[in-house]
Amino acid sequence: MSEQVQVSGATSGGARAATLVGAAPPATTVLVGPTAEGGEVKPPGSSLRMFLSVFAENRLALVGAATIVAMVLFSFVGPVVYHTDQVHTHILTANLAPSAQHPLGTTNVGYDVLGRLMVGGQVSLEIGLGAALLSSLFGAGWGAFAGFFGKWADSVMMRIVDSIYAIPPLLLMLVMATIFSPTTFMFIIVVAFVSWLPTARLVRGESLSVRTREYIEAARGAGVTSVKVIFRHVIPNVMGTIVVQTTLQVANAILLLAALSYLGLGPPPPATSWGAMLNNGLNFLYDGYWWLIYPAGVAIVITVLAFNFVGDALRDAFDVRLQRH
Amino acid sequence: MLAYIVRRLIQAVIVVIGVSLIVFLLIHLLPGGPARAALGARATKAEIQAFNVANGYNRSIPVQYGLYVWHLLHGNLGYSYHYNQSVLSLLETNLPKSALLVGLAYVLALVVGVPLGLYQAVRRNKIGDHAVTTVAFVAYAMPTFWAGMLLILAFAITLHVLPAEVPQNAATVGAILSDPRALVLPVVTLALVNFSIFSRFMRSSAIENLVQDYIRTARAKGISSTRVVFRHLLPNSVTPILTLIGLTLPIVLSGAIVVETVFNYPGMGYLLWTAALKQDYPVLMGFTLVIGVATVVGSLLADLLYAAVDPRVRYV
Amino acid sequence: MTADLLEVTDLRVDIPVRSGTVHAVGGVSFSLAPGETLGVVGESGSGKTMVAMSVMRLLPPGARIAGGSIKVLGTDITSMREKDVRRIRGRDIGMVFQDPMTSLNPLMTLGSQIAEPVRAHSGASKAEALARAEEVLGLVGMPRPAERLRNYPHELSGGLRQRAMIATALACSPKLLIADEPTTALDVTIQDQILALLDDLRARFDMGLLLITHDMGVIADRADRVAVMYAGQLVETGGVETIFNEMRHPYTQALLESIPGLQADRSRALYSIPGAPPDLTRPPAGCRFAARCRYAQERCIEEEPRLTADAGGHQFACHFPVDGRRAQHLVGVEVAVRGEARRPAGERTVEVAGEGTVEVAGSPDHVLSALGRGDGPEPTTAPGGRVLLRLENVVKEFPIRKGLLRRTVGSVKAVSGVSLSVGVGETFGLVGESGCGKTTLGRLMVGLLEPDSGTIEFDGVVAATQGVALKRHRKDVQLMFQDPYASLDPRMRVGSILREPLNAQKIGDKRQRTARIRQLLEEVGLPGRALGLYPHEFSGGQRQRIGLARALTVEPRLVVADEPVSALDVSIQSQILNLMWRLQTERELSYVLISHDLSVVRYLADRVGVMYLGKLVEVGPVTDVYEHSAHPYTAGLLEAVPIPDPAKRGTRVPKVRGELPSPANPPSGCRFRTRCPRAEEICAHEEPSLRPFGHLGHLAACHFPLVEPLAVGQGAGAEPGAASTVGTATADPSGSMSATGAGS
Repeated sequence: MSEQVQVSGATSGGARAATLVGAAPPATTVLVGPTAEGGEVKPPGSSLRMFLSVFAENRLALVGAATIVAMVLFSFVGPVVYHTDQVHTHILTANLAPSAQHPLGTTNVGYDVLGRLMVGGQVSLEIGLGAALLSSLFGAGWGAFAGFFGKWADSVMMRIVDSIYAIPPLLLMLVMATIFSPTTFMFIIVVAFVSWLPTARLVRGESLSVRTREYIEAARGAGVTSVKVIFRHVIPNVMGTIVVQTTLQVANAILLLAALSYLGLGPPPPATSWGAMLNNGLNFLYDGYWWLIYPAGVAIVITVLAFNFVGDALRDAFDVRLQRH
Repeated sequence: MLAYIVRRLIQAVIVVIGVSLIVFLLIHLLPGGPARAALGARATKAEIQAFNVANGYNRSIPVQYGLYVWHLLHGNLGYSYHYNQSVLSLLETNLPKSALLVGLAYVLALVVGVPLGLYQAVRRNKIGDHAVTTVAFVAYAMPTFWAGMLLILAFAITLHVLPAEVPQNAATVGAILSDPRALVLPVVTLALVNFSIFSRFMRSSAIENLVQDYIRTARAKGISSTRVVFRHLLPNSVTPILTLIGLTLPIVLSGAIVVETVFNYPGMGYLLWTAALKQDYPVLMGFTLVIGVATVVGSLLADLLYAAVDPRVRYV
Repeated sequence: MTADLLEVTDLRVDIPVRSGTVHAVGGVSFSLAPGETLGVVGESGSGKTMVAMSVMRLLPPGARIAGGSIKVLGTDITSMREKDVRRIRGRDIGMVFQDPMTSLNPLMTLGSQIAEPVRAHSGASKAEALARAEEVLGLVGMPRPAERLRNYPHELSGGLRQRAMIATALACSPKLLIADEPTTALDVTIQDQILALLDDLRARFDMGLLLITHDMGVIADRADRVAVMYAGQLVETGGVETIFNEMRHPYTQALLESIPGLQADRSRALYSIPGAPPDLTRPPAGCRFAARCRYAQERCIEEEPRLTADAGGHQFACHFPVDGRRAQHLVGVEVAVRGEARRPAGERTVEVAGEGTVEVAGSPDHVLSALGRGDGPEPTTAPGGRVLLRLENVVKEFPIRKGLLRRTVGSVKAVSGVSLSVGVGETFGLVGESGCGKTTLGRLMVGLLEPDSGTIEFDGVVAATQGVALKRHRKDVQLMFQDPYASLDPRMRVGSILREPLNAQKIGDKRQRTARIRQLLEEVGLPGRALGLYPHEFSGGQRQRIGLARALTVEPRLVVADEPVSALDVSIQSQILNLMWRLQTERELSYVLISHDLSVVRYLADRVGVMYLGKLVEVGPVTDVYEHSAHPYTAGLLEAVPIPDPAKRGTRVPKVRGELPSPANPPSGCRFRTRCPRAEEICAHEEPSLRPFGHLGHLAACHFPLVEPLAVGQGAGAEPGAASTVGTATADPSGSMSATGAGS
C-alpha cells in the first residue's frame, strides 16, 4: 500500500495527507483514502436505481402500474379482438344474463356489456388522462408563477383559485355541461377546469418554500437570472409534486366524469362511459340485473385505485431520493 | 388574533366577490345570455329582446354586473319559471334539508375517521392499519353513486332492513326526521369519501407528530401511553383537520348532489340536478352562487376555529 | 467506585434499515454514581444518544436493545415490562433534550406539562401538582414562576424554555438526570447559564448526571468522568483530567487536537482526522477507528481491541495506545504545510519551539503571522494594507407588518449603522449571538440584500445593487453557507452545481469550464467522479467542500462564509477550516467569517468584529480583542465559552446575564446595557461611539471599557501612515470614530 504515499502528489491536499502520514513514525500502513482528502464517495448512478428500487419495492405500485397497462390494453386493443356492436340497439337480445356468448350479459337495449365496458373505458381513460395532463400543466404553471413572483400577482391569482374552488366541482361541471356542446375535448376542458385548483395550490406552496432555500440564494449570489432560477431550480424541485399530482388527478378526473355521466350529462349516446353505464343500471336495481351494476363500478374502482397506488408510490420514491442518506 | 380574524374576513369577502363574478360570467356564457337564463329555453327572440332592454342587459358589462349584485343584495336570486317560484323560496325549503344531510355526514366521517386514523398511526404497519388503509382506499376510489347503489342493493333490497328513500314529499326537515332510519343510507354514502380523507389525513398527521420531540418528552415523563396518545398526540394531530373540514366542503357538496339523486332525497342537490336536465338556469345560477358563498363561509369558520384552538395562531 | 445508580453492561442497540441492520451501539459498558457527572462525548452517529435513550427505554421506533443490561438502582430495565419501566421514567430518571423549541408540547401550558409527571407518579391532586410545578420552576431560576404556569411554550425565549424543560425533568426529584446535548441549540451565554444550573441542581440534590454532548469544552468544564464514544463503541473512559491530559486512545487524542479552542496555537494547521466514520451496517472486523487512525497497523484491521483498564479506572480500547497529548512530532511538519500553502516568493528558516529548525516556505511576514501573529506591529493589517471591502454606516431594517392593512408598525433593527473594512488577503471574523445581525450583514456584503442607508464599497467602487454592475460584483464576492444540506440543489448533479456560476457569469467556453471545475474539485479534495453525483450522495463535510468549490468557481476575491463549519462534527470541522486556510493562501482570497463560535473565528481570522443587536461594539486584531477585550460584552462572550481543558475549570465567572432583548425594540443608549455588569445611568441616555484602544485599529464602543482607551488625538492621527492601513481608527470630520481604516 506504500505506493499511495505520493509526496509529489498532484493536489496539495493529497500532498498534505501524504506528508502527515509519511512523517508519523509508527504509520507503516497508510490508511488514508487513495483518492482525495475529502474521503470516499459513492459510485455514480445509484440515484436512479434507488428511485426505481423504492418504487418497485412497493408491490401495490407494481400491481397498480400493471393494472393501468391492462386497462389501457383492455379498452383500446380489446375491441379489436372482441367485436361487438355498440351502435345499434338489439331489443331481442336485451337484458340477457351472462352467457358464453355475452360473458357479462347485455343491457336493456341489447348492447354487449363486456364490449361496452371497453368502449366506455376508452372514453373514461381518454378524458381522465387528457384532463389530468391539461390541469397539471395549467395548474403547475399558475402555481409556480404565483409562488415565485409573489406579492400582488400571488394574491390576485390565489383569490381566483379560491373563488373557483368555492363552487363544488360537480356543480360547476353541471352548469358547464348545460352550456357547452358535449364533445370529448369539451369534457376534457370541463374536467380540467375543476381539477387544476389543487395542483395550483400545491405547486404555489412548494415554489414559495423552494424560493427561500439557500441553494436559490447561492444561485442568485452567483448572478443567475430569475428566469433561469425558475427553470433550473424551482421547476425541477417541484417536478416530483407535479408528477404525483398528475397521477392522482387521473383518478379524480375519472371519478368526476363518472359522476357527471351518472347524472346524465356525460358523453351522449351512442357513446358511453362507465358512469353512464351505471346510470342505466340504476333503473334495474330492483330487477336483479347485477351485470348492469357490478362490472362498470368495479372497472372504475380498479382503475382509480391503480392510479392512486402509483401516485402514492411515486411520492415515496421521490421522497427517498432526496433523503439525506 | 383580532387582526387575523379581520384579515381572514376580508379575504373571504374578496372570494365571495370572486364567486359572484364567476357566476355572472357563466350567465353570460349561456347561449342566449342572461335573458335565456331567466326566461328559459323556450323563450322567443322577441321576448329575449324585451327582457334585455327591460333589465339593462343591453348596457355595458360593468353596469350589468352592478345590476346583478344590486339584485343579489336585495335577495333577488331570480325566478324559476319551471317551478313558478322565486329561487329564494326554493332555497328556503331545500337548503335546510341538504344542510342536515351534509352535517350528519361530516359528523359521521369525523367520528369514525379520526379515531381510526389515530389507531392506524399508533399501530402503524400492523394488520389493523393495513385493513383500515384498504377500506379507506376503496372508499375513496368508489364513485359515490355506485356506493349508494350497492348499499341500497344490500340493505334495502336484499336485507330489507333500511329504506332506500326518504319519505317522498317530505317538505321539511321535521318530515325527514320523522323516519330517521331513512337517513342512514344517504348519510353513510355521503360520509364514505370524507371518512377516507379524514382517516388518511389523521394517520399521516399523527405519524408525523409521533416522531416529534415533545412526544418523546411526554414519554420520558413516565405517563401512560394512553395519556401520551390522548393528551399529547391527539390534540396536536387533530387540529389541522379543522382546516380540512373547510377544504373538503366543495367535495362533500358535490357528493351531496349525487347522493340526493340516488336516494331521491328532496334537497338542493336533487333540485339542481333536475334544474340542469331541464335547463332551469335561474335555479342553477342562483344555487351555484349561494353554495359558493356557503363554502367560503364554511372554510372561514373552520379557519377561525383552528385559530381559536391553537394558541400559536393568536400571535400571528 | 460504587455505581449503585446506573450500571450499563455490554449494551447493544440495533436499528434495522433498508440496507441491513445498523449496529448503532456495539457493546458499551459504564456506570454512574450519585452526585457524579459522567460526560458521554462523541461525534454524530457515535451512538451516544442511543445509549441515553436506551437508559430510558425510549429508543426510536425500529431500534431495539439487542443485548446487554442496564441496571437502574440495581434493577435491570432491559427485560422489564413497559408498565414497570414507565414507573421509573420521570420518577427515577429525568431527561432534558436538545431543542427546547420542539421538546415541549405547543398546545399545553407549562403548568400542566410540568405537573404531568408529578400526577402520574405520586397520585397528587391537580392543585398539589401545580404547586410542585411552581416550586420547580423557581428551582430552575424561572422569573415569576406562578405566572409562567399559564404560559404556552412559544411565549418564552429559548433559554427560559430550556429551563422549563429542566423543570419538567426535575418535577419528581429524580436520582438520575440525563441531559442530551442540553445546550447545543442555545447561544453561548445562555449555554453557560443552563450548564451552571444543571451543575448546581446536581450538587444540591445529589443526582447522577449523564451529560451527553459533542462539545469537548462542555465536558472539560462540567464532567467528573468522561466516556468517549466512536462508531457505537466506548473507546476510552476515565476521569476528566486523565482523558484530557493522559489519554491513551488515538481517537481521543485526535479529537482534542482537532478543536481550535480559545488557546489553540494559531500558527499550526489543525489536526484533522481524515475520512469519515465507518458504515455501521457492516462495522469493520478490527478496530473501528483503524481506517482513520494515524497509528494504525495490520493488527488493528484484523483484531478488535478490547477495553482494558489500568489501576485508576482508566479504560481504553487500543492495540497501540498513545501516551497523552504528545503528538508533537507532527507539529513541525504541519507548520511547514501551513506555511508552504501561503507560498509567495522567498524561503525562510524558523525556529519552532523544541523542534529545532524547520524549513518554512513563504515571505517573512507570512511566516511571522503564521507563528504567533499579534506580537509584531504589523499583522493586524492585510499585506499591503489595501482595502477590499468597506462598509460605511450601513443600516438594514426589516419592517414588521401587523394588523388589518399590514401597516408597518415597527422594524427589526438587524444592522444599525455598521462601518468596517476588510483588506486584501485578510480574514475578517464576525461574531455575536443569534439575532445580532451578523448574517444580515453578510447578505448585505454579497449584495443579496440592499442596505437602507450607508454605502458598501468594493475595491474602491460603490457596490452596485442592480443590473450588470451587480452581476460583476457578484463575481467578486461569493457566499458560503452554513447548512450543507440546504445550500445545494438536491436535484442537480455536482457538475451542474459547480458549472452554474460560470454559466451565469459567461466565463470561458464549455471545455474551459469543465477543466476549471475539475481542477477546483481536486483542490477541495474530492475525486473527479463526484461531478456526476447528486448532493445527497455525499457526507456533510463533503458537501461543505462542494459549497466552497462553488463559491470559488468564479474566482471571487472575497468569500463571505456564514457559519461554514457549525453544522459539522469537530473532526470534519477542522478539515474544512484547514481547507479554507489553504485556499486562501493559494488564491489571495479575503474571507469574512461569520460564526457564533469564538474559537473558530480566533483560529482563522486576522481581525474580528463583535456585533450586538445590530451594532458593532468592538473591532480589532483578533489577539487584541480576545486578550484585551475592551467591551464588557466581548469579555462576557469569551468568558462564557467552555474551554476544553479541565484545568481551567471554575476559573470562568459568567458576566453576561439574561437573554438578548428583541431587535425590534432595542434598549436606548448602549444596546448592551440591559445585560451589562458595568452599566450606569449614562449608558441609558447616550450611545457610546467607537473609540480606539491601542494603535492597531482596536476600537470599542463603551462608556466604561475594561481597558484604558487611548487619549483623543493619540489615535490614528498620531500614528503616521497608519491611516492608510486597514482597520485603523480614523476620526471623521464630526469627531466620532469609525472602524473604517482607509477613510481619511
